[in-house]
Amino acid sequence: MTDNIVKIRGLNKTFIRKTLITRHVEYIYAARNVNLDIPRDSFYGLVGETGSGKTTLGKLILRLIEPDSGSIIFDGIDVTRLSQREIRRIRPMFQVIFQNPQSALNPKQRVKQLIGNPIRFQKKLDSKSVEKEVFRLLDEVQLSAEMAEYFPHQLSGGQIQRVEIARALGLKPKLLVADEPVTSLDASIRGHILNLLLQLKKNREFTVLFIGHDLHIMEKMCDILSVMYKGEIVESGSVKQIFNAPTHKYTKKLVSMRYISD
Amino acid sequence: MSELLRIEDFSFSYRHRNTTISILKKLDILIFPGEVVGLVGESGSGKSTLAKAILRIPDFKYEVSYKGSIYLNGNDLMQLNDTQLDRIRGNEISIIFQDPLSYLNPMFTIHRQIKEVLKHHEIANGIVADEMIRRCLLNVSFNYPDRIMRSYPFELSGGMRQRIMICMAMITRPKLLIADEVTSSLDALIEKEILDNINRLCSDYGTSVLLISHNLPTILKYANRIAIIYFGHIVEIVHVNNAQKGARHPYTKALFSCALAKVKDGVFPFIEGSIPKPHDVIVGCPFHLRNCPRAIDACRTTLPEMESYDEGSFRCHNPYPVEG
Repeated sequence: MTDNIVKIRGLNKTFIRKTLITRHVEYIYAARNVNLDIPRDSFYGLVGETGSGKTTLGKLILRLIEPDSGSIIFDGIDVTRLSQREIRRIRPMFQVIFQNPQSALNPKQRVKQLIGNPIRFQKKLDSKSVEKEVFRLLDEVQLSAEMAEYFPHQLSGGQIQRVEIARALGLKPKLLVADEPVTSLDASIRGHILNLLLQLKKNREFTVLFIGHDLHIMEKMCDILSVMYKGEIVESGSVKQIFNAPTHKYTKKLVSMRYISD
Repeated sequence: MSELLRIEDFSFSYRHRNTTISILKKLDILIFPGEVVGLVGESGSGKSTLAKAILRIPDFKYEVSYKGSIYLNGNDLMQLNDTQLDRIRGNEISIIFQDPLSYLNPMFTIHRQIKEVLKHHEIANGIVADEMIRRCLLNVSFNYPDRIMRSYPFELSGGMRQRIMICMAMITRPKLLIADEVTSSLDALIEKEILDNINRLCSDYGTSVLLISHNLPTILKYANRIAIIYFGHIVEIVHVNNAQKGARHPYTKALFSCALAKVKDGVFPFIEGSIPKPHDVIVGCPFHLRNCPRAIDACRTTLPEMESYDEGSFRCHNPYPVEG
């Protein structure tokens, strides 16, 4: 038996959309009977095209949205049964970095507040040790100490994503959900962020759920991969297995699309 | 050699708060008939500006100035007035943008929208036009053109809208198609479908394509030649077969290894630093600021001239040697 940090059983989530004029009701199945096991300390990849429900699944695990049915067991605790008050207490254990950090960070706060405030609230430290922690984190994500005084709009896309990583890791999470962290970045900077994630993963103990659609990157980053299609997990397995012997029709198509560089 | 489009010594700048910010700096590009030229660069390097500047599409907020010339079959587009240019836009040179929804009129049906193009350029009218539209929609892989013709843009998906844009651009059988990041907002599977459509139609009609993208793998697949743009300069033009091994400019090499995620010892390649802002003033080669591995003293003081060899050209003081 391997130790799973996240165990998802029979998870369902449906969005209802009413069209504007005809009031026709549309059902969007974002998660359909999802079963997922994420082993502890793994680098878990989740692939799928737009609208396949990968971001929704990420948000469900973080309980940013409520599922219709099913259970999510995070480190032995059923997250779906907790009240909002209880969930707040365990939130530091799962953190998230979003695709568009510019909109995820408060534009009125400086970098030191953005990284320091979560630590101050959750860990109840005095301001001096918070500050020390902020500088340590900035160093860890390879940003210079003077950036602590900057506002988000003064930073470039790559820098701001590193601030986001520092903010998430400041709370020492057990699970980090990385929702398309490099999609909005240029190819030349993307490598920097990916290396940083890999390096941090090596130095600290945490699990990463990496959501993305670029198979090229996923292949090299992840240990285990799940493929999502129309709200269902159609295939899971080790990266090798998925790329060498895809079984589902959709996965086969996806793998064949991959650009062969050599 | 009879080239279709010749961009010669072309510069573009705008004035903002009494300072002149130059976006494109002395570009030289040739596009031959029936050829697909890829234009690659990071965001903010001037790719889309070039696309719009070729047709002088006036969606700039500031006072702009153009220098140099763009020849289409020997006629300088920069010398034409608006009425004359209007005959070129959408007729001889068509353009497709990234976000089709903002370029389609939400109040018009697809049929009326495409017919407008035919009417405007006095190509066809009435039933003849309808039949042309139907055939063109079939050409961009719509199985039921009549249903599509009746629908409004909001009823269609992103990939379908983009195919409508292709249909609109190609129905006049233009000589040049400018495809500005046409698939950036679409999925990999739909991206392939769209680009295959463009590719097929263009080779049928003999249309040249200026394919603009930040996604190098796509460019490598569809283009014949690739132009790499950095900070408003064309740093290298290289033939696609030669692109990965025979690139001479260090930026091209670096960009290729980043875009194709060639992992070495578990480390992803990346380029140090960040992209310069348009208003930055850089002395010398702009790439030396990003830890160019082959930077020499001359790079810090003077901008290298464009050097040509038989399969391309590059702008570098200390290029990579030709691999034998």
